[in-house]
Amino acid sequence: MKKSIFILFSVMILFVLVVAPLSLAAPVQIRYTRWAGTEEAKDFQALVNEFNKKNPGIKVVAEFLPWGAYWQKIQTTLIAGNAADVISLNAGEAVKYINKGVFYDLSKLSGARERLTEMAKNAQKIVTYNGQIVGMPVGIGLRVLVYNKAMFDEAGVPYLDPAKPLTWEQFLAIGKKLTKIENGQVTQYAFQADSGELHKILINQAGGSIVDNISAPKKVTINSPEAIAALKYMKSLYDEQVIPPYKDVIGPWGNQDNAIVTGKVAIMFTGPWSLGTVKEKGMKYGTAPMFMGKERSTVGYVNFNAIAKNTKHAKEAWKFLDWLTSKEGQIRFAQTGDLPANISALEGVKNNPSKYSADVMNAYYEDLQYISMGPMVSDAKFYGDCDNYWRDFLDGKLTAEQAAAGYEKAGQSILDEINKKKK
Amino acid sequence: MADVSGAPKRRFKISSESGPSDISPLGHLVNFLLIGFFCFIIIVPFFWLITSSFKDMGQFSSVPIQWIPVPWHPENYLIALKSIPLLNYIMNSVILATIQVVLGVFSSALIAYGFARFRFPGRGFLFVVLIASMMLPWQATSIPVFLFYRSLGWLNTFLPLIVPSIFGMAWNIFLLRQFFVSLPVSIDEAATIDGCGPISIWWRIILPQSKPVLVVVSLFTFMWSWKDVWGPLIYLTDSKLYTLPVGLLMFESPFEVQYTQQLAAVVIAIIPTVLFYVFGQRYLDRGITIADVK
Amino acid sequence: MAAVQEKIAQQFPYKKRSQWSIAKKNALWGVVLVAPWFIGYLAFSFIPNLASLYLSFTEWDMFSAPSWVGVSNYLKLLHDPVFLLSIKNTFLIMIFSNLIGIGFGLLVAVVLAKDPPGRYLFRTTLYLPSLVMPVAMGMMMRQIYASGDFGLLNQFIGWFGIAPQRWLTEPNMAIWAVIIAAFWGIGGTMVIFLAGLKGINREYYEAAMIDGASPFRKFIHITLPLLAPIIVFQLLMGMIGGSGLQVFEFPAALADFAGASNSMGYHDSLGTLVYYLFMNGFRYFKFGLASALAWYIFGIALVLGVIIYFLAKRYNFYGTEE
Repeated sequence: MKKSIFILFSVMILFVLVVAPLSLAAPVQIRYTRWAGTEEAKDFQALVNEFNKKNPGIKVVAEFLPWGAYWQKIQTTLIAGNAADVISLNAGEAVKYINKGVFYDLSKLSGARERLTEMAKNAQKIVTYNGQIVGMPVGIGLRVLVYNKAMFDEAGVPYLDPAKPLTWEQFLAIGKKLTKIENGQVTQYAFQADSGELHKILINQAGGSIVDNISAPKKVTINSPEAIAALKYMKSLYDEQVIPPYKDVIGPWGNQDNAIVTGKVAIMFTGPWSLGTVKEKGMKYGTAPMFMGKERSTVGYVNFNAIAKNTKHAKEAWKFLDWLTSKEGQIRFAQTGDLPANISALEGVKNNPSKYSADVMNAYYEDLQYISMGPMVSDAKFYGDCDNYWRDFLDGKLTAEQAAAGYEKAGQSILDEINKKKK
Repeated sequence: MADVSGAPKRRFKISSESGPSDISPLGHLVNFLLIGFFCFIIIVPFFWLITSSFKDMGQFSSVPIQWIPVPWHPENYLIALKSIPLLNYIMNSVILATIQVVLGVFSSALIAYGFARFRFPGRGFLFVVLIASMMLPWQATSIPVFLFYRSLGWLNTFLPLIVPSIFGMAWNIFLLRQFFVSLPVSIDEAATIDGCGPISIWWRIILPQSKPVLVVVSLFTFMWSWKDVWGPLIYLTDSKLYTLPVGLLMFESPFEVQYTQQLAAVVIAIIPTVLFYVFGQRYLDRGITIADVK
Repeated sequence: MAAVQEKIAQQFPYKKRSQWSIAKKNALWGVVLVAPWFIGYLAFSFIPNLASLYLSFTEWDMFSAPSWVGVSNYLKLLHDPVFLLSIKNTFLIMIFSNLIGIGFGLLVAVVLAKDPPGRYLFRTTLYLPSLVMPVAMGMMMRQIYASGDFGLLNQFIGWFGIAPQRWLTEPNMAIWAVIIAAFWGIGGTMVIFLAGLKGINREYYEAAMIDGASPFRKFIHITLPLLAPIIVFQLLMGMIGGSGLQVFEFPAALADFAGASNSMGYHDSLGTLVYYLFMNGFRYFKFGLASALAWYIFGIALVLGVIIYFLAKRYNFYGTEE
């Protein structure tokens, strides 16, 4: 009996002696999460592997989930306090959590402030909250016009200029030509875009705005002549049948990301992510910057990475983020399809285009400086309630002026509630 | 003790038919038309689903709908199989569902037996509590429950999905209790006189008489487990543990473009359950025939 | 049970088992058998329920500490037009979905219980929608409710000369889109009814045949009363479950298809009680309000349950106990 205890002890001691140093030398593990479809997940895993290879002391373990499921998971884990060390966020979704104090203040880490200054201007604004840096921008997704050349030929419309945007009037004019009507039925539409995004862009293009400050809104400013003009222009696009009815959300003409692939729409409004499919179809297509009103503006999605507040490895997490947002890392990152958030990497990306964007990047570079975002409100009820007003306007139930006034009132009451709580 | 099981069955036979066939030809026709109508409205979307999984996006969005795609695109299936570890997800789902069915059905049957056949103080009240426990929407308690499992260290394991089923499932208990109550008590009594204990009565008399409902309960438990997205999504982080519903979401993207490949994956995912059901319903019929031995 | 005890007492007088000790033993067995459920209930339901009850009296954004606000969440909801709309929608869905599910489910079960030729095929087909993943169902529903001639439902109603509808985006249509989907769920109720019908002793029907009863009379006088416990079960579960009071996933999926997931469809036209609970809790970050909503739902369910129970009892439709 005694002997066996002795053996047991010696085995344990041996175990501790052998394994303990091993575990000390083992790389620090940090968890990194991102939304990704099946193909994207492979691209991002390759990116992570590259970092792991270069940094033997750190092992980044990546977890991917598709878009919808990802945000559900992020919410639960942030509430429960077991989120990953490095969390990928999209400005639109992140807004729910920015004011909740769940992200590490990056300004405490050396080099973060300097790095932020290298980022695109609009992207800097989004990650700065109350003087803290809640995340580091990594990529920007934006939409431009992608069109089917065959349909342009058929309608006798010249191809779009890849550098010079059309005006509202010009776009409406070619739109009318590209829509085909047979026996009173539309068989081909000129353009497809998401009505929710379109109204925001048009308001920006008209020189108006929805709120006073997109990242920390206090006032709804939509009740202005500019915004009303934008709403009226939007209605004309629907009334002239340039765009399919906004209520036909599931129709044969697809959505703004796959419309030209259906062969029933001449122009769609999309990003590099859709181009793979277009190419696969062997379709002859062109790209052009988004059309313009008084000003230029297009949809931009700012993606950034945050570090969880209660991480145990802030230093290692930052090392990964530091690499990802450096010039070198950003050139590598752009291979996954987004445009780099770090402007200093732009030249490098142009010389080293990704598989998604090789032949169409010009339109994207052209529009990169004109990205704008909708208002960032942490309570999603803001969008839900306000959207009813422009929809009612498109339906003819309200005039543009009534819609703008109603939007302002509904939105303001929600902003007031949020701002009251903060105090 | 051993001879108990044979005797009662003869006295209380369970019929495989609810009524003798005394229906007129016209009645048959009406029945067929009725069932045919329901089958039709159900089968059409499935037909669309299957044929669409062989389409490309142009064919997918053609108007009028192309019911048979020409040319067809079977490569959708290859792409679907290549892009996610579908078989791995199916395996996880099968393992999880099997464990949940075995635990959930047997424990529920035992608990339901307790409710149906034994008088004890507070029984009525507890039964009301059981039913009331299904009345509060689970979404409202999801956060406290998640925190509870986290404090137990159960995250990223199958435990949060398995352990609760050991303690019975309210819906199962309720349905089984309703069936047990309707079984004649006289058989139990006869068995008791012959010296059978409660567990032995449950196993030898109650369960054999309840085969159809046990199959139903198993089927429902299986389908709940099989279709559950929230649980696996929230509790599991390692993608090797993901179940099929979570895996199928992988095709979703905010900028969805390749619908038809997702359709192909969905069709593959339907096959195991349909096989399971076809097998299960044969068992349903056979189970009754066996119980009907004369 | 008393009869047995007497019998046993007569048969085994030498054991001198008193009534009391048998009843006690009986009760002990009952407690032992039911105990696992009760323990599980305490751990996995009761404590979280208490937490939810507490939270319903607080304001909680899920990140900072909850602050006590008394009954103000409950009062706020009573003045909330979206909450009232959600109640209306939920009751519409609850009533019509269950009429479809239980009525047609019972109808097809009665027909299929007679074992007509091709019953396997019919049964599998009818149960098919219950067998597929929500993702698959979603993709089909997307096509069923698509606009214009692209949509399957629009094509179908076109045969009867009805003009195409915008099922998801016309606020007064959306709730009917949810109700119509109940037709795809009749397989679930059918399976339970089938099991119940199989349990009915054939001798009853044989006796009725000798009396020369019509199939309809047999249905009313034999099938219906004997199936009553199952019907009550289905009714109760249907009313308080996911196809009734707790309906959520399907309207939420439809709102998502409509591109209106920041509200519950256009003008909240797809709003149901649990859906509104979900939006308040997880989209608007008002978990206190969401918890209060949950307890309103619980209260309504309890009332419904009691009504069904007493109706069933009054008409003797409930499984007798002994």
